[in-house]
Amino acid sequence: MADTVPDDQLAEAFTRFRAEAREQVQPPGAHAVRHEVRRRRSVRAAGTAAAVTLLGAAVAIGTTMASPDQTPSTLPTMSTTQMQELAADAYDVLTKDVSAFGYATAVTAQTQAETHPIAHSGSSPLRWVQGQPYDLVALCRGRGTVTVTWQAPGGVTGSAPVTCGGDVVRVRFTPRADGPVIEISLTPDARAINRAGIAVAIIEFS
Amino acid sequence: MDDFDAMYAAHFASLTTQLFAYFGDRQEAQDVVQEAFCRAWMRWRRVSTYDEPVAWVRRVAWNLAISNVRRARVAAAFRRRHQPVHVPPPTADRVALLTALKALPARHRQATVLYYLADLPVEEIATLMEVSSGTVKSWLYRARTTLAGKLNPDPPDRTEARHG
Repeated sequence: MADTVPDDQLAEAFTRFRAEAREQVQPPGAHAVRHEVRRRRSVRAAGTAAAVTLLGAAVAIGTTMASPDQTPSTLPTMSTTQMQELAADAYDVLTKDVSAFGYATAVTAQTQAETHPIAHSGSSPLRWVQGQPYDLVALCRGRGTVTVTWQAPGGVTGSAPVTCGGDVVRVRFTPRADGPVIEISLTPDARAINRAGIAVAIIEFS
Repeated sequence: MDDFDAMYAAHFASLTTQLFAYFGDRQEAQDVVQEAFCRAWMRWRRVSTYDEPVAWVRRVAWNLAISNVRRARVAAAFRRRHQPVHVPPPTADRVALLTALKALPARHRQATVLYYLADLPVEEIATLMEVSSGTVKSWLYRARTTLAGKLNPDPPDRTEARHG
């Protein structure tokens, strides 16, 4: 038996292997790479948003516990109709003279469990467009603070606290992909629950 | 077709073939290489400025391949999302080569695959594996010696003499 395989014989064995193996390789494709990376970024963005929301809730609880004289139970609450009126009023302020898509809602205990998709329901192409800047605006009337968290197509996400009774909060963002909806979720602090109405809108620049 | 697509098209099969030879499982090799390309795309702004972006992908793929834990995690993640693909059964030659390669220590096997399948020069293999060129040459020599016993069956006359 030879001590070593002659180099040309070994090279030939690998050449045969390479030819046979390459025929069986089925590349998922560069598009699958991009899809997978988009998926991971989206999952990561959602995780970050959830962490921010949890942190906001923790801070709100801590603030409430640190100020016993302002416990929510001592503050008067509103009826759903009253809160909806406040929200509608806020929505009118936000959307006056601009092309906007959004919604207005009473702030209740259920608010933080809901996600509101804002669809682009204007003229064609009926979707939020990659690379185009939009303004997210929010206005809250009443008491407390509501944290608005958004997730735009392409994994663009962020959050901003909106003080009820304060000014309009405006944040600019740019989707990294085309998409039909922008997801909005609201996290009210304890003082805002049953005491506020909020409006959120996406303003499109003409 | 952009630079990333071109690199993917030019090198995916070649890298997969190398890792297939290294650990003997085509689907797992494919998943690991796909993962390496995913990591490249996530950092493409930086990776694309390198002289040879595929060298970065190759290094990541091999790093994943030589870590059993990471390799298993990558393969399991892709398996959850993709249907298995059925391919024709392997030929005797392929089985023989894969079996022979498995008899080599992992580092010798990696050097052998990089030399014969990736066509890398000894110096480049040494850089990739972070050892000296002399070490790579020694590994290749010992790999050939081991492979001799696996790929070269005993000549018939000597076999008969042994049994006679």
